[in-house]
Amino acid sequence: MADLSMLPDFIDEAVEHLEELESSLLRLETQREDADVLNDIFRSMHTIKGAAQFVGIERISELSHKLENLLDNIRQGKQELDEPCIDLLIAGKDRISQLVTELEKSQVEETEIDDLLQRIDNDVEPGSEAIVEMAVPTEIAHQSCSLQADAQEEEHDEELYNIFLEQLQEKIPFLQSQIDTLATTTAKQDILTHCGNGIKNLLSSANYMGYERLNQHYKEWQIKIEDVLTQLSADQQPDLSFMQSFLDEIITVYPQAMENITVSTEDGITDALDSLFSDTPEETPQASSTDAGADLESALNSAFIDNFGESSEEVTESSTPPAELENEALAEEYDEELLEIFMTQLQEKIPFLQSQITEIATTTDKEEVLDHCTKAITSLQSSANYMGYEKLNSHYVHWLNALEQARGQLRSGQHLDIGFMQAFIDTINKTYPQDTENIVQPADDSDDLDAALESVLSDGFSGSLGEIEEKSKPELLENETLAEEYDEELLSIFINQLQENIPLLQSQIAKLATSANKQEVLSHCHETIKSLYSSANYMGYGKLSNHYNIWKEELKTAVTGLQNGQEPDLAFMQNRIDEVVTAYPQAIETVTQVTASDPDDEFEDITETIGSMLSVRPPEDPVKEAQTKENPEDITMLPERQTEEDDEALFSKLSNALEASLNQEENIPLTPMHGVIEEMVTPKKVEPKPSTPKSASAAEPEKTKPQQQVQPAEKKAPAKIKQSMRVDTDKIDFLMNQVGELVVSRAYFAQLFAEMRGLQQHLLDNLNLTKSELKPLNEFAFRLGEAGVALGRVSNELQEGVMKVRMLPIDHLFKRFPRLIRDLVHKSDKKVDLKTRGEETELDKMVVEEISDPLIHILRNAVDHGIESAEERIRQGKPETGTITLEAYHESDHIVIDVTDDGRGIDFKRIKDKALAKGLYSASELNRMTESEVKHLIMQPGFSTAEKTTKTSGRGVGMDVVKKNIEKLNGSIEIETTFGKGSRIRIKIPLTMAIIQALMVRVGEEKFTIPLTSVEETLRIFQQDISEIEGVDVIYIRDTTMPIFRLSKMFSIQDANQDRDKLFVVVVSTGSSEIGLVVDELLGQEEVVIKPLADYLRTDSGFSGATILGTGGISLILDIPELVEMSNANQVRRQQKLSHGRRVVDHDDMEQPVVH
Amino acid sequence: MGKRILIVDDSSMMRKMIAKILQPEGHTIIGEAKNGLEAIDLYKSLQPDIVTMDITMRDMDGLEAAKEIFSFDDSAQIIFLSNLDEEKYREEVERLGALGFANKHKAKEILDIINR
Repeated sequence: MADLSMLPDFIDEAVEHLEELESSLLRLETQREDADVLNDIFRSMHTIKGAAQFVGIERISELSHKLENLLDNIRQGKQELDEPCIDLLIAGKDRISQLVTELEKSQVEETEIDDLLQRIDNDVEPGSEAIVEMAVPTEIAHQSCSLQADAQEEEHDEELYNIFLEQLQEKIPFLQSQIDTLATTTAKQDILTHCGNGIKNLLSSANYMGYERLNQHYKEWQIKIEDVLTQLSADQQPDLSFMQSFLDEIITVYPQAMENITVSTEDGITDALDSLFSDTPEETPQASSTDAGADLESALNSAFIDNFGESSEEVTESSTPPAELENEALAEEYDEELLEIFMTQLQEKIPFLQSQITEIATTTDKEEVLDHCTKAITSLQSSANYMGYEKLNSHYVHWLNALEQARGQLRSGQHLDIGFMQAFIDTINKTYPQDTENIVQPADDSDDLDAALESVLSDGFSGSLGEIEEKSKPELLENETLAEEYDEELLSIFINQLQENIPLLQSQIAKLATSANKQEVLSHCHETIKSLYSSANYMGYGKLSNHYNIWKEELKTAVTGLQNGQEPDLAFMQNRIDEVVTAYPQAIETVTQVTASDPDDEFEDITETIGSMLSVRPPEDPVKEAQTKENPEDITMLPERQTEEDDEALFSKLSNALEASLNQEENIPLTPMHGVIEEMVTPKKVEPKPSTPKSASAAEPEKTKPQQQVQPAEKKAPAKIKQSMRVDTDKIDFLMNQVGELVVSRAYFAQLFAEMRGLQQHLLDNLNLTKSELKPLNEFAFRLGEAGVALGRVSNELQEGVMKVRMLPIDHLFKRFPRLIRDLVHKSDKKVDLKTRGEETELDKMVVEEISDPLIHILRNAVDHGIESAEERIRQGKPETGTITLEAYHESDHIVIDVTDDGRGIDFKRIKDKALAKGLYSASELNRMTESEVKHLIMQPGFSTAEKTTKTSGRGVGMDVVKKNIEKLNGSIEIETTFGKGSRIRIKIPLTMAIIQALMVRVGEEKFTIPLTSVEETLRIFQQDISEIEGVDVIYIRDTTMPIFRLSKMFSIQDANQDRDKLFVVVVSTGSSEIGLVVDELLGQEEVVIKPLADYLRTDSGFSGATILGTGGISLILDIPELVEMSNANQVRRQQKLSHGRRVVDHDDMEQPVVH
Repeated sequence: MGKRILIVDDSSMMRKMIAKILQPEGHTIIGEAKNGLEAIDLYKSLQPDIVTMDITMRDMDGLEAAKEIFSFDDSAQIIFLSNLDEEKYREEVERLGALGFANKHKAKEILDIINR
């Protein structure tokens, strides 16, 4: 997968844009002419695309790209914005959302997008297809079935196929641009001729690949062009649309042809390479290394030729002498365009061949390399042939023959000589100097540079090719980024990773020398290498990943060695990393850059000087270095520098010493020297003693440390505007719990303080202590009180803070609903407008999640049962479009969400009929019911008034579930309705579910907690205020009766309080009904932390949870809705008994749950 | 010498990526703005050496913001970065007197313009 480090950012942002996109798309549906909305959509899509491309998320970027094109067409009026088009856009948006969700879950895009792409394609280009049909109606039918991707059907050679594709990628855009100009230009004939040439070229390549259908297609095209050309010359105005259709045909079948164009592969690669190389910090070494590269290259060439002079002569004799080659490009008249193409190919292939030659020296699978060469040359040959460059063509033929011979040699086990290869290339280079142009550019030369370095290495040994072959495996490692085709983005990610991990590894290796716990360090290294391995593997860099693999193995052996108490040789670590760095100099690029940007300019100069001296030197003998590492005592540090002047002197000494060491040792790697230099310029101001070469290289392991310190310091950017971070919800929950505990502790403190007070009083009253004797105690009590208050303040703020962290604007929820309404209304005969208000109202994240389903259900009901069809509305004189208003606002410490519709309202008669039909209640019961009770019938289990099961309702999930869910949140639900006018459903939920304000009451010895949200008021009544109506105790309050219940009876608690005359009543409400709860004492208001009860304890118990008191005791939290329900049930039962003429024995029939 | 840079882009991810490109080069990101209006405010208060400016942004797009910035500081150094079709905007960018125009994906190009 792509750059995973950016993935969370991408997901966050994509989700944001997708939400925006959705709301814009819904707006677009109603305001099709609104350019602003369209622009918004385009912008969101564009941003998603850009980000997806940057991170390397393929499907999303492809899909969003297509959608963006579609949108652009709409914007420019090329595409009509009709119903299916909007549906397609929405479907596209949904698919992207889905992919994003998948990315979030598993970092992989799972869902296919081809079907949508297909749909978009059909939608975007119907215009051009229509024209095509007019122009060549018969042919198009024939083509569309016949021209299938040959490539996919047949077994093909990867390499050849790539070449074929390359050509396609080159030619198709060229043709496209020609066709585009065709529309405007007057010189149509010229352009058509160009096209004809291009097609001829494509034809030959298709022919070569054996793709008959494609071949046929091209031929038809050619014929068509010829026809048109004749028409043109006859001054007719032929229809030229066939050009586009032929081209489209190819693009459809070979989408690869256009694919890379959008990212402009070639430019991209060159740019990437440019930046990779030119970014090298010091200019001097870069320049000199390029020069060196060139020099060494020729050295290499001569080495080849010297060694194999004889054999290559033989080959040369048998072939046309290369010297005879002329640059036919210059000699002949040529088409500029074609020549360019020819040159590009030359410029591509020659370096490739060059690299293959280098590879052949080292690789074991020579035959494969030869195969590659053959293919490359074949393709060159065909292009030369096409250009009509006969001499070049025959040169290639000879070359191919020579290759065939070489292959024969190889098979018969003879010593392979490949000197002729170089000779051939040289000849071409001489005749067509243009092709080397690009070698001069840094882009492609690093291969050669590598090769050159290698050859110099071998020079160092003895200069013979045989030696090169014998050379140790590590030298096989080459910078594969350059040799292969790659995706620019992927490459940069790859390089980034390299830049991150290589310095890390280096620091680890440095640690190894000193660390006691080598095993741990090694396992860190192992991890790092593993991740490097996987990225190399992903990039398909076989050699690099192989390298890593070997490294890993070595590490394992080393670790096993360590475990067995041996002291393994860890020198391989440095060797391995050096190889990687040599092959991928980019890896340490950033590291050195940091140094380069060090403000100490004079150091930089010196750095450059030394750098340039070193850059021409080949890598160091690793063994030497290993030795020094094993003798860490050799590392001698100079004392801190005293003056700047001293530095100068030191540096010059150092340079001398280095030079000397170079002479002694032949090889000193670039990297360690960088290290030394960096060591000097880093602020740490430690310097290796320059007197011995050993110490110079030994300082290397130390180098990364100070750098790592420098880097973060530099990276720290000041003044970030707004930062957010993602936190695991578990962590916040934990924090919330702890805050809860703190709240309990605070209560405990208050409790202690109260006890202290009691003690004081006791001492004063009973022990007759004087005030002065009690003074210290009073002071202490006072301080204790203060401390309690302070603790209270802090814990309050902390609690608020943590709660705020969990708060989300309800907008997050509301944003989902327009889409819901759209989908509900879609393809129905209703029109609904959803309005939202108070989106900024914040509430607990968990509440937001929990409230989502109930709200969806209520909205569904509103659309399904509430809003009438457009026709009916008009008949009733209502506006055609129904309105549903979603409104959220704060009301003290809870949140109210209103869902209001202007539909038909609730028909009480229908509800009653239904209840009767379902046998829930008897007719007399129903007749007695108040309106509010009837309304609440719809929230009873098993109640649904939907006459038929529609698309959305009638799933057996009714309002009862909604009610349950909301009550689970300690919330309540209310219904207001006017028949014919509409209804409003009001949901009230506490801000948070974890800590609530509560009224503490005492009943007997027990303390109970009543959520303050349900408490309406508290009353003090006398026994005589209570009267009995239909067997139920009631009190009169404000001209109405209210049933009261004695908690002591409900929970079978012994009445400790004998003062029965005065009673406290807590009036609680559940929205629809109010009841009074008789308690013995009101203890006061407190903040309590809810501890949930297990289900089996909670069900039908009348308690919703428990809380811990300051004293450490437990108080049960009353479940008011359930209590009300229980009391209603009791009431009904009693009334039944009464109506059956039985005398009610007071209290005996009460349901009596026991306090657990 | 590192420059003090203000990044203007509506995508937080893009801002991050651009910062990633610039910081290793020794440039300092002194501020980030997510639309044209913010960009103008920050430009006034931070006085950056260079502004990298996205084109498509809500509230106020990059072209407009640049116009505004140039109106009070005609020596402002603004680089336009976009994924959009270069040629379509290049003319307008040049007319505004901006430092240059580069594709967001071409880190090298961006750096080149900055160092110019």
